Amino acid sequence: MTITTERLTKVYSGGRRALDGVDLDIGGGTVGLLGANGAGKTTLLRILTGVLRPTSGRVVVAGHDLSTGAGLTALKHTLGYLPQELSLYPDLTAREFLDYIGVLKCIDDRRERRRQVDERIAEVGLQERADERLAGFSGGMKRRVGIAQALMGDPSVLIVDEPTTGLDPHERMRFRTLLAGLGRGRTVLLSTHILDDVAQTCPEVAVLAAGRLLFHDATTALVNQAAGYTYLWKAAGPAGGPPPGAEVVSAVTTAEGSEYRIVTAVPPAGARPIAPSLEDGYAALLAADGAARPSTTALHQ
Amino acid sequence: MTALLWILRYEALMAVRRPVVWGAVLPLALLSLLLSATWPAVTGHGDPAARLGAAAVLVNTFCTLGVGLALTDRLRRASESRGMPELLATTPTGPLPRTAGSLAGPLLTALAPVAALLLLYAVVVSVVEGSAAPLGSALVSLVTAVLPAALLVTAFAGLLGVLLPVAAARAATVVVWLWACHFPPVFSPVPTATGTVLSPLAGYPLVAWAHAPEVWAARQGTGALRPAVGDATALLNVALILAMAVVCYALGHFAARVRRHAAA
Repeated sequence: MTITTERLTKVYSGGRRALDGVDLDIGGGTVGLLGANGAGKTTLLRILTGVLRPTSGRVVVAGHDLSTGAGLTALKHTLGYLPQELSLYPDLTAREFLDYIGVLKCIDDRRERRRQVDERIAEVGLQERADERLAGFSGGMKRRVGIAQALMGDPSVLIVDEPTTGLDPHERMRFRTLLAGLGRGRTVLLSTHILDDVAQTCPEVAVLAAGRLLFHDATTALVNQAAGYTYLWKAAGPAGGPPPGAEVVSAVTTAEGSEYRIVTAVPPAGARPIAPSLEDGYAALLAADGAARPSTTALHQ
Repeated sequence: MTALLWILRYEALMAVRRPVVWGAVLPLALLSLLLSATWPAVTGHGDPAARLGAAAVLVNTFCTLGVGLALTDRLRRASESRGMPELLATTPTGPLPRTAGSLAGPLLTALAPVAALLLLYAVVVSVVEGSAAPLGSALVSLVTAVLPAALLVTAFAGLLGVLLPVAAARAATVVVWLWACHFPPVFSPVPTATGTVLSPLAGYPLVAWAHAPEVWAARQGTGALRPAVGDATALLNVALILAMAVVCYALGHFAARVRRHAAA
């Protein structure tokens, strides 16, 4: 396994438990990490990159045990990381910034660094703007530079934290295409709360909720969590609300009334069964975990 | 070593491209040059090396302060730079070359025009007087007074820049700088660092080694902190300036770290 955690726990000063006994085994390819805000995704990624120390538990990344100084140092030679927010140096051009990161990643040979910079710039499609200062780059272009810097040194493990947040639809599509190709020959852990990104790029997914690992399997298996429980239901009249107790995934309101996409074990009268999506599977998983309502406690029992 | 040089190069490049560096340093450097060439307190010395020593006092008064003011927001910007600190922490290059490069790059960039103008003045005086002593005096001044003082004022201003709004930090730096360099005890109703071995004006090495007029050392004051000028007291003055710079840098980095964690 490329990434392994055993009973991984992180308790921040003040007592907030961000991770609670997470056992995770990840092999190669692109793996999505899903979870609501505050679920512990960023804390997990920061521990996996060696930025943060866990309170307890064991972490092994690319064969390096991160509880030792030698393991942490060795990890840094095999790791690419794109943090959730990244303020690039505005006074450098994209080419200079990537070269600078190459220096920090100990690519000492200048020609090799230049070759990698050229390759990375082409990979993220920034050839036309490579010699412009980063201060003038759009959010999407900055994220592309962010990915390019993470790929400097050709890392075997790539950790990417919410890379598409704040991007316009076109940039997001472009970025997803870029991400989809990165899993070839390396392990990519992609943290996001945008389910579409996972659906389009990750064959495998893990879900965190309140610091616990709730699910880790094929993405299709997460979709199947909602198989047989997903319905479309039309509310009677324009003011009709959602059916009580059901997990509402989406709603469309027209002049005629509202149509709800719901996940429930007890469908209301008139509900039409449909094929589930990743969103439905995610909603079903969280509902089953919460077990808050009678109509969803039956899910997966 | 190679990594350090490249880090230094990129940090210097970023500083070169920031207008505030030139806006704060160049006018003060030109003012120093103008005063050095026209002010009788400098030009009136018969000994050309002493003329350079006096000019170095002016440079250390204006230009060094300008360097500090230009770099006041350096630590603050670094602490507010989202994601970069943790990204840098995941790279195999250790914190020591990163810190050294990010410190020396902007400092040397800001000091470059100051050094160039002082050396230009020294060359002119040397040629006119037919003596190499002014050039030697300028070089000694740069190494033993201007560089340590610039390190201290940059570290101090950087620390204040983390603790206070940048404009307030710059104003406070000017006040403290004047108190520590140009507030002689004969005029001061309160205790002052001016003329002591703690003063960042570096009067002791300037007088002892760069032929600056005697008045710039103790500044007519007395006491244990204003000893007689000599090699030992000059060395002590330099050592204390460097020690204070190290303390201010450490405090500044600690404050920046606390600020970054608080923001996270």
